[in-house]
Parts: sequence; C-alpha cells; structure tokens
Amino acid sequence: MTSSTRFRINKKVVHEAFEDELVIINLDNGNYYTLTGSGAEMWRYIERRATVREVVDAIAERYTAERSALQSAVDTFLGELQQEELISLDGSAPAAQPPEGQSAPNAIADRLPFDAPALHKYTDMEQLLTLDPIHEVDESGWPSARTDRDR
Amino acid sequence: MIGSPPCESVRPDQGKQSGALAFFQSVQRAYDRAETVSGGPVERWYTIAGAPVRLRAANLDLLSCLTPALGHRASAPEREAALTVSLWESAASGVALPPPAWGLDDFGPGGEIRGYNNGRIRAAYQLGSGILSVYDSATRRAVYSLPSSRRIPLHERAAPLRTIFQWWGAGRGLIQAHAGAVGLPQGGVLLAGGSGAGKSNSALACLESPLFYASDDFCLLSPAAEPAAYSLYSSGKARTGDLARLPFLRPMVSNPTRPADEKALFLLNEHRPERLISGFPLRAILLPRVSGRPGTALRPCTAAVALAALAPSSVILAPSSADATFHALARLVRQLPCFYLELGTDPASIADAILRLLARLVPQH
Repeated sequence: MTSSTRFRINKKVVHEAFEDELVIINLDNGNYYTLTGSGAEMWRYIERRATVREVVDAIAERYTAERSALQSAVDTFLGELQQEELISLDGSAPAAQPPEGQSAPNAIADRLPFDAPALHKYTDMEQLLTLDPIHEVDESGWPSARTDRDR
Repeated sequence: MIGSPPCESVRPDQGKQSGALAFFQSVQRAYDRAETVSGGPVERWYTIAGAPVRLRAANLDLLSCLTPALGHRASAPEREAALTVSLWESAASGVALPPPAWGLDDFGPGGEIRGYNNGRIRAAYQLGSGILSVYDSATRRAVYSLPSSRRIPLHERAAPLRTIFQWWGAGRGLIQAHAGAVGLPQGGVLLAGGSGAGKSNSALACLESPLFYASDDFCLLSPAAEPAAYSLYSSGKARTGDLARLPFLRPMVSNPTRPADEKALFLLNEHRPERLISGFPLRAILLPRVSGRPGTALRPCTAAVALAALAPSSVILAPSSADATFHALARLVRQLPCFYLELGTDPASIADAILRLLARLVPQH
C-alpha cells in the first residue's frame, strides 16, 4: 500500500451512511458492521475512490492529531477493511477530479479530537449462510433429503 | 460421499435464460403429471398484500398440511391470480423431480441456486428437506415440490412458500422483512432484531391485548411514502421455556410431541382468528431487548441502530434482492421513529407500551 493506492468497495458489500454512523453488510458471509466517527468519514472517502494520501489529508483537516498518528490509523483501518473483505485494491485509472464531498478545511480551533476508527463486527448471521454438506445424491442428481431438525 | 453429477445438465451459464426456462417448464410438466395421477387439482385462494394468490395442489393432503399458517388470508376465487403456485409431493404422486439443471457446486447457502437469482427464472432448493421452489417472474407462476407432506420441517410449516412470496413480492415492489408486526388498523409497529432478541415473544404477548397480530417472523413491507406492513402468516413460534411467561399459549401448541430442542408452533388462525390483521400503516420500528425490570419502556435509538437490527437477516434471507431490500429498509428507518423496546418481565406491559406509543403517533382525525 502506498500513498497513491486507491481502494474500491467490494461488489457483495452493501452500506448505508447516516449522520455519523455507517451500517455495512458483507452479503457473502453475512457479517455486518457499524462504524462511527472517523471510521465513517474514512469510509466515505474510500467510497469516492480517494487515495490513501487524500484520506489522510481529509482526516487531518477534521481532527487534531499528529499526521503520523493519522497515517498509522488510516493504514491500520484500511488493512482491517481488506482483511474483512469489505474493500479491495482499485487498479483502475484514477478519477480526473478530486473526490466530491471534501468540505472546506476546519479551522484548527474547530477540529475534533481524534479517535481511531472502530469497526464493530457482528457474526450472528453466519449460521444463515452455513452450507450443509452434500453427502449423497439420488439417481436423478438431487441431494438426498434427510430428516431436518429445525432451529 | 458425493455421488457423480447428473448425466445431462443444462448449465445456466450456457444460454442462461433458455436453459433456466426449460428447467422451469420441465418442473411444471412434472407437476401436471402429479396432478393427473392424483386426480387433482385442489385449489385455494388467498389475498396477500391486497393481491389474489392461487395455490393449486395435486392433492388435498399437501394443502392441508402446508397451508394452515396462511388460513387467515383465505379468500374467494378471483378471475385472475397475481400469483399461481402449483404444489406437489413426490411420495403421494410417485412423480419425481426432473434432474437439476445445474451442478452440485451450484447449490448455495440458504437454498439459493447459483445462476438462478437474478434472471426471469428463480430457483431455490432446501438441502435438508428436499423442497424445491421455482418461479417464473414473467408469468408469475411458481412450482413447489417436496418429498412428502408427512415430513414438512417446522420452519416451512410456520412460513410456507416464504421464498416464492419473497420473489413475487419483490416484483411488486414489496420487501420481505424478517420482523414481527403488531398494531391497530390505523397503524402498527415493526419488531426488529436478530434471533433471540424477543420479536416473537413480544408479538405473541400482544395477543392478550387490543393490539392485532400481523407477524412474528416474516412480513411484507411496502416501502412507499406511507410505509405499510402486510401479514403473510398467522403462525408464531416460541421456545418451550418461554411458555411459562405466556401460559395462554399452551393450549395452542400445534406440535406438542415435538423434540426437546424444537420450538413450539402456534397456528393462530385456529385459536385467535379475531386477533389477526391483514396489515396496517407502519408508525415506528421497535427493537426488543430484555431489560430485567418489571415494566416495558421505550427509548429512542438512531436509524443506523435500527437498520443494523432489521437489515442483516432480511437481506441474507433474500439473496436475489439483497441490494434492493437493504436500501429499502434504509429508507424505512429514516422515515419512521425508532426505539428500543426495553422488555419488562410483565408481558402485559409490552402491549401497554406499544399502545401508548401508537396513541402518540397515529394521526387523530
């Protein structure tokens, strides 16, 4: 990952942003997440195909913290999102214009204290996607039905 | 041990639509044979979300075993159906399913058949129970096949034809939500949350109140400018341990000899038909959670919290329309006030809290 790296949100991920909260669902594995504060803001920039540098720049204009700390937090967050298979490297051509939605920089006095992004993960949907192993197939090719014990 | 794949399979990715349509037609022909062998058909009509639905079964036993949870929506025959479902069982008819039009690798999680979830023809197969559902969105016809009406799993008796109704509803702009719903004709609430949150118990507790019951697990939502919930099923389920708090449910248990780990199933149309409702305008979204206190209270929550409670199971159970479902629910949580429903130990307090809320939210004319 370099400062010019861009990411894209994976196709099987749905997400919705509220004022300062975000809800994300990975449709492939059923895991879902909530993000607040700086994490939600970072996600919005990722969605707009900002580079890593642009994400750090934007966060630096909103929060008070040493740039090195912000860089480290962004790198860690991006790594976590990749590990959760929510984002992937975007190898397509960069946008001609900077990402939309970058508001004017906050005056230093108006900047917020920085809290590292926290991705809250929920895995209680995994059982809905658990695939029963196919043990036997009948003569016409259908998996053999077995006694179904209900939840 | 996995056997060899079928000798002849028309894979959807080799001329997708024609292969899928051919499969649907072969399943329809199998139903037609089953109907002939069984001396059928037997028909029943229902009104779901204001639309006429026709179930056409090869034999009466199958309808009798499968459809009690739909009984509250029974209606007179219409000239034309918005949805026609043909149903048969292999055991009674001796007519088996035609070979699948896909390979073993295409049986996906949740019953979804890979390649059959975004075209004209939809298909899902429940690996455990052997239930096949196929739907032609162009003709609004579906076929449903199961091995035997004597081995219908609990979840299917509680929510029969759920997948077909989800596909059909999506074509009408309706979202199938994994949620309870109770209310009054002038307005009601959605009860949202994951498994064990208290949706079912909260909805069932309201049976002893002036509130009407539309759902404990699945309902159809119309995410319009004035959103509404529509009842699909008159069933309810509860863990055996919960019956102590809701003793009035004990005489209504339809599966008294169930295994120890199976939930009790209630077919409410047979016991409390007067407490059932076809639907209502939605006024709020409630997230049940156990408080441990005697009384039930409401506490506002954010739309994001409500979406995180409502959306995951609803979209996972609707793989063919997950994106549309998610965004429709996102619009819904923005439109309606959202609250935690902090459940008291007194079951009667649940309905009281909901009724007080509705008194505030329902427009007074």
